[in-house]
Amino acid sequence: MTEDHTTRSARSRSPLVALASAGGRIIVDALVIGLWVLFLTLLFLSTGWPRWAFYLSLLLGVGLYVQFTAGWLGSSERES
Amino acid sequence: MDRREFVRTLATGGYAVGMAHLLGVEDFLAADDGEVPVVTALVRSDPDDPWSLEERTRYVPAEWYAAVEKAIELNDRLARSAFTGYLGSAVVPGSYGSGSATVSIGVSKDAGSIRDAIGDLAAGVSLDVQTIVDVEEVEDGADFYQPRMIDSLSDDRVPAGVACETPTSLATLGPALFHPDERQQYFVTAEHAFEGETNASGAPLSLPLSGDDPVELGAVAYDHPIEDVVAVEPAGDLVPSTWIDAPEPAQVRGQLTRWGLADLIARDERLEKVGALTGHTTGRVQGFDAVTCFTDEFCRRGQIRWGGEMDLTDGDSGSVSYHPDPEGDDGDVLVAGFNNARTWWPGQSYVWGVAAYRITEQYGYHF
Repeated sequence: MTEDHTTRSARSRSPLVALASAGGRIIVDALVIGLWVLFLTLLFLSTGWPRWAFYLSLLLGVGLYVQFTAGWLGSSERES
Repeated sequence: MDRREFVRTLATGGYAVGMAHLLGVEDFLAADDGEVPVVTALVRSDPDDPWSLEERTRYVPAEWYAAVEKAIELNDRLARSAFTGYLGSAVVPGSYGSGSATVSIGVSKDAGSIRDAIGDLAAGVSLDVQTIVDVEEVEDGADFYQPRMIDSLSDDRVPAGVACETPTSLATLGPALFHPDERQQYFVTAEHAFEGETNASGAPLSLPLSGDDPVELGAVAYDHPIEDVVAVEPAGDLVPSTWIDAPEPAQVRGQLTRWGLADLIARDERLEKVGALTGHTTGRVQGFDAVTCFTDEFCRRGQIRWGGEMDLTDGDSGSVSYHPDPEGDDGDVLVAGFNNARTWWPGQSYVWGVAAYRITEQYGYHF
């Protein structure tokens, strides 16, 4: 990758960079959600709360996470 | 919410649920309040494929589980400490409703001091201390039984529960025992049936026929004197079978675990056996994880106690105790363990032998 190429792509996002940032996002998503699942599992293992509460908080957490991250991802995308 | 967010929510949600399943959350989420899952049996999902073992779970009251767990621990510490006068002990779970468990201890001396000595260890577990007298004296059964023999060979698979012959005595043949590492199947019987041989390893085992000359089954490949089990590698055309020659023919589908036995005791269920001499008998399970120091100079661990004195006689050793598989087809059974000896002193009456879970833990064999 040349100097010229990277400076240009900062504005117009070449497909390569877009792909790399999408890949990075997926990895971060997987990591964060993985930790959330692990946390809930350990929490429910120690408390013995019912099954519906587990899945409710699991999906609620995912929804909130997507809403929250879509905010700052979307704004950064609008900038470009 | 735009389309991208929606897709992302779906994908991430699916990933989260999949991840939760991988972690096995259903195992504890499916339990009701105050229940915990235990593995009760290892069962072949395909009856003809001995390597297709699956775990079977059951939900049991947490209070009962904790009590039994504690009793197992106490029993283990007793076995390790091996104080003077200790002749053996066993874990005896109470019913599910009682949420309790007992450790039954056999001693040869004054019981009171023993109770004091282990009083601290026994917090929360009830003790049943029994003083055993006259352990030394082995009375020889005067009863005469005709051994159950196969008439003639119609099949190359030899069912369990019939007589087999060692160079020095007669015993009962067990069902096929498998070893996963070698992918090998073995004939099994009791090691003490080879008594008198300097080394059981390599000794021949044969099958007496009532209508013909005895047929050789093979030679002992592995002998386990402490567990009182030998594995005989099939040498000729005959191979071991998973069928037990009971009045209602039974097919072995797997084996019970430690918790499977605890469950049987909690529900006051019975075990069955087919011995070459006494035939088919049934009896209540009296304890598991038992330690017996009555015979030989060492203690045997991981034993089952069940039934009564009348369920076993010389020549029945090597037979297996089993229980119907509640989820299997008609005639499917799960093996609890081997039958090797019985009580001969007053006050106690049971058969004992090494549990299947014990030989799986120690050597990897399974039924």
